[in-house]
Amino acid sequence: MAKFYSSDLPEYQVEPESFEFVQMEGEIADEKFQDKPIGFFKDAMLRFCRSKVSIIAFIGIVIVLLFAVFAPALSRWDYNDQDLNRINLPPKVPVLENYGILDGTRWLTNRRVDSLEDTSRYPEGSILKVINHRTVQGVEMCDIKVDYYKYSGVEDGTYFWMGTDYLGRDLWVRMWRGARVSLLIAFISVICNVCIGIVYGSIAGYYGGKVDMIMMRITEIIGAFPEIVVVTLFILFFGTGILSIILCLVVQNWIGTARMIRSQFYRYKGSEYVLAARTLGVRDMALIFRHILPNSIGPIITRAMIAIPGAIFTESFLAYIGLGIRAPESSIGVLLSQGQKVMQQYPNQVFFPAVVISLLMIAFNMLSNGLRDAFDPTQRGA
Amino acid sequence: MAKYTIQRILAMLLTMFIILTVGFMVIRLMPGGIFDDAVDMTHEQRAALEAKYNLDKPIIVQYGLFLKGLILEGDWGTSLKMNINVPVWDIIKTKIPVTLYINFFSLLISLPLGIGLGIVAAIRKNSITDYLISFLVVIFISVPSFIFATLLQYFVAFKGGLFPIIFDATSTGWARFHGLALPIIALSLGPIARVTRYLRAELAETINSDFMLLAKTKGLTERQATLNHGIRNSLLPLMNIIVPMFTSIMGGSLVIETIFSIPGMGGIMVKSVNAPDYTVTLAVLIFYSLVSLITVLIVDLSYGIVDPRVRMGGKK
Amino acid sequence: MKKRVLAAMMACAMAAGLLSGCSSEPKNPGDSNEPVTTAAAGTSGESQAGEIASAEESGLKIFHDYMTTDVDTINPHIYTMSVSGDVIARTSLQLYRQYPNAEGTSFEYLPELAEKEPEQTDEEGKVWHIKIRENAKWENGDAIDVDDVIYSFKMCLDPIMVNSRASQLASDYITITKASDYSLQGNAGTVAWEDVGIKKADDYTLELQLDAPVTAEDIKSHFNYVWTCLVHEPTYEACMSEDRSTNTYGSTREKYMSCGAFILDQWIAGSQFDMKKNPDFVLGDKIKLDGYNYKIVGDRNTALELYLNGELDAVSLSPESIEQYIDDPSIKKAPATSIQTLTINHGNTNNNGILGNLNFRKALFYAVDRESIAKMTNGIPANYLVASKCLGLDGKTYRDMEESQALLEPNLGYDPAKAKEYYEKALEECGLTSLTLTLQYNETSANNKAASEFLHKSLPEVFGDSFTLELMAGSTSVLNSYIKGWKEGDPNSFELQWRGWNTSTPAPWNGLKVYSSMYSNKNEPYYNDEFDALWEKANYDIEAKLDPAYRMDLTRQMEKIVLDEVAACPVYEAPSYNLISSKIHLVCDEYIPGYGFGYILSTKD
Repeated sequence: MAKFYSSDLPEYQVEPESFEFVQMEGEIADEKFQDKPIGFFKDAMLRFCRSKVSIIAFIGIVIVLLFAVFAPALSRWDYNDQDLNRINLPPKVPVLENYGILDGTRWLTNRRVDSLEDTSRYPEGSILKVINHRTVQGVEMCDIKVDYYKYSGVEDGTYFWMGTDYLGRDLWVRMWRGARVSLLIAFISVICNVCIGIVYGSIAGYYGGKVDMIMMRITEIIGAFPEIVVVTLFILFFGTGILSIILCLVVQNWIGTARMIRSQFYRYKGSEYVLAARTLGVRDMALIFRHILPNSIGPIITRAMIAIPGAIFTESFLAYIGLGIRAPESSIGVLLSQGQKVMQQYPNQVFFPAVVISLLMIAFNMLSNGLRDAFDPTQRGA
Repeated sequence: MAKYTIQRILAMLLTMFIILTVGFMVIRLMPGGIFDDAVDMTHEQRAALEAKYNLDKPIIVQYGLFLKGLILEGDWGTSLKMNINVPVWDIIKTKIPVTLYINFFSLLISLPLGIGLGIVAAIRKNSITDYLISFLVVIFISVPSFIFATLLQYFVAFKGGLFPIIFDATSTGWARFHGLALPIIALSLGPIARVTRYLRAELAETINSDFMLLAKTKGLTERQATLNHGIRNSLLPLMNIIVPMFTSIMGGSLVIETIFSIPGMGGIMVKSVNAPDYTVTLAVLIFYSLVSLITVLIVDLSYGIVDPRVRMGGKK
Repeated sequence: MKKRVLAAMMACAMAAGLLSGCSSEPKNPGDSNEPVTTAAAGTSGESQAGEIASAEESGLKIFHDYMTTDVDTINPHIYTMSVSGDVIARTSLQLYRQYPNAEGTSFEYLPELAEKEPEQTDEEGKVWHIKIRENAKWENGDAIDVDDVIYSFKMCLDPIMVNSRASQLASDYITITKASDYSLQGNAGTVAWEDVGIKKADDYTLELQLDAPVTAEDIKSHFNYVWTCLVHEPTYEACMSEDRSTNTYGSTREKYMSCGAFILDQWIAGSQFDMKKNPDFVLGDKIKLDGYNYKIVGDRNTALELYLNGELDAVSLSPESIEQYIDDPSIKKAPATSIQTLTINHGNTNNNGILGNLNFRKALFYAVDRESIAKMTNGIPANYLVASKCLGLDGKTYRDMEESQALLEPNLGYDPAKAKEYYEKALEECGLTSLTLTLQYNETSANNKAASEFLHKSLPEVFGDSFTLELMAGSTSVLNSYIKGWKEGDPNSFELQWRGWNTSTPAPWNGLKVYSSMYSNKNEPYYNDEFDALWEKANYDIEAKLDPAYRMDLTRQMEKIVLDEVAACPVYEAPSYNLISSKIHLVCDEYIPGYGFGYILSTKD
């Protein structure tokens, strides 16, 4: 009959006194550490700083942030200053205007030739070029290039760097004000997503079995409801505004993070080192957060960084289907969807927000690569 | 494994039922009565109509009636607003083919292209090629598809005259493909970018691993090592994003289908919510949920098959 | 670093492409003397040109039109969308129908399926006979007689199917005896079809029995509506569900039968309708086109591109593109369908019920700078509640009549000083020191959004810092649920919301029903007995029916009441600007008041 281990049996009882230290007093032959030990984050920091691309990306983001914070305050105009005498102006920038770009001109097509003399419509000197004389249904028509600032009667020396919108609001200010709002929405929603996702995913992945089964079914149920249904309900209960949008971005998006964390746990929880730690009596919470979770820090950071422009993106989709942020507030999404409607008439209104969102995306992308490499030494040099 | 699979399938059915129940309640919570905005009618007329569709009864009774119809006759109800009196599945049925068509071709383009670009970018890491690819990837990901679709339509179709501006539903064969080429391209940009980025990251990780070092040590060139050993290891995790891409095949794209006038699934959800058309919303919801649940199931089960080290459902 | 440089280069390249693409010199469409529709049409691609050429070669004159949304059904008894109504109207017969008069200045009701004017057969004007044509046919050759008409009406009023259009057929301009009772009885079976005032006098004569005396004009107006269109009995019966509670007539091409000016040839759900000329149409000589097609184009920029490419014959311009075509000879203006108003929830109890306070509503009325909003929306300022499209007397529109002009406030109702005065009085009366209101608008309406943002800025400038206007965008269904909220027991469901009523053009007195107490679709809890009495008189009083001038006078009295009490605050009207191809020759060059451009009657080169 086989014997089973039981600490109660006398033959397995070991008294502490029967152990003795081997090397308590002896010399250690190894070399002593010369440097101070470097912590995990400091180590990551060092590696991060070594990557030029990441630094550039970081600086890029800081610049956008600085613009977002300070540009609106430093401008002549407020984001909501309206003037119906200057609607839809094209961009005009000092210096550049002399080179024929961003000089505040625009082509107006299908003009009646006989109306060109009318100075109440085309103030003196506003018409720069007339082409395409033609007769359409017996009417003489042409296309003209006008100095749109003069045409609209805006005084000389006024410059709108990105032009103005349908209410004559300065798009430069609205752009940066919008970037501020969008980034705020993105940061808050991503932080919430990541926190919920980590906790939820860790628990499901670590405990597995029934817990996992139930928790994952819950995510499936939450995930089943289409964004549009969820958004409509939120708007009904909370009204439009930042809160609704953030809630919409959080309520389903954490599921992805949770799934990712969970699969990471499945990958690592069977590893030898986890087994070893558990054998040594490490508690569940410590196992989860100290031993397994740090493996996921790379993917989490990458994901979070990509999620930031992603959130801006979703926000712009919501704006496109008409569930955006409360007017007259601006956001990148609002500008993009507004710009898309007038893309053929005023391409500048979609071009600048598209450039800014692309720059942000590039920067966050590069930053996330840098951070991942920094946090995950196995990827170094990759 | 078999036991786990059965467990999962049972759980899936239960989940479906909960989604159905919650969905029914939630959709009824949505604002707007069906006949609010419809036509000019008297109070009595509206009341009679609501009585006809049982909308005047308590929601639990409505749910009971709905379940009864569903279980006894497989009846999902008829549309009340979008295609009046047409059974909801008939509506969905007519819209799926064209959506499948464009999404299938978009996958057909985006997968090889994305994988190819991803491999090139990973092998030529930190070269001009890599930067160029990464740049395009970022542009495709960061600029919303409605901007690309509008640009393509304006420059390629309208100014360039190379493609029809909108889809002609009567066309067949090559003309059909020609007419759908722009939406297919517009739809592909996003997936290409996603596959490229994912594969580049995965491959970059694999290239650094020990077995690749071994492969190189034994005399394989960088290229041989990558193509023979690296890619095989990186394609497996790619399943993580490819399978969900198949799910979206059914979804269609509201924006692109609207811009190119394609009568597909895109936006059927948005439209039915806005109509509002309860029965259609619910049926579409169930349809999508089913597709996505099956996808999740396949992904989860395949984890274990693809990588035997992972034991799904195992306890701690 | 390389990456950065490259990125910058790419960005510049893209920028150049984008900017140049739209602002480069427009291409010269060629120096021919031939009429060119627009500059850009000259750049159309070969592939499209080829397709169009093939259609033209066959010599068919087809009008290419578009619709922005899909139809819901083409069953005339239950359709809800106006586009569905357009398709039904083109492919089915009505007893009477609007056609432009000979001069093209107005419209008249012509007998279509009816052979001649309705005949009064009693002293009072409660029993009428309508003789119908004997030569009308369905597309399959079946002859149409009075049984088809009666069957159509009977099915529309069917108590089991409960069709949404039943109440309008039963009672609108005329009230058919027992028709409402019949259609609303459900399964009770208390009213037999034989009791309803729709009878067969002989094979080609319909007899109508009415509750109240009416004029022939009322009858013709009543049967001008799309829901009185004919349905084909065998097809309709085949589409009936087993319990006869629902019907799928008009859900596909196969489940529909045409008999109107055009025959529905092909219907691809969600995509297009092709109709061809009906050789047997009773007024066949009026139709010069060989066919009429609809494409479903959801995006307005896309529709414009299609028009410029010659694939559509007419297009309605989006507010953004009006500027580029304002001088174009092909541009035609049509009056707005509705006045955009700020709907006020009079019964709101928040802020001590200030929305119920007349002084505040007056303050709001005077505070709106209509001229600026009109300028911004390419619209016309509206300080009135009867739309400018509505017809008056002597060939004038109601708005153009001097008497109607006289009751309007000067300066388009904009008077900041007065507004401020009323506002302060209102605050005092309600015991408030500050006020915040929420204005709801539909995000899909660019004009309303712009106007809302303008008011957000300008109202506090008029009222002072104590006033704040908050804005809230919503989808149609969300906004509907808010605006109906007060009927479902929540008096505070909304404060202000943009709305516009598309009311009857020929009968402005009827259109004002939206402010009467008995109207079930009311937007605001506004009740005024005097107004209700006037409305009843203008619509049902035989004296008013026989004396148009008196009716106009009653209409003016009604409008004065709702304006004085600011039942709703009118702001602007946005006329639509349409480009119509030079190949199309309309029956009348300009928009025909109360009728439209009459595309179906046009000829094509």
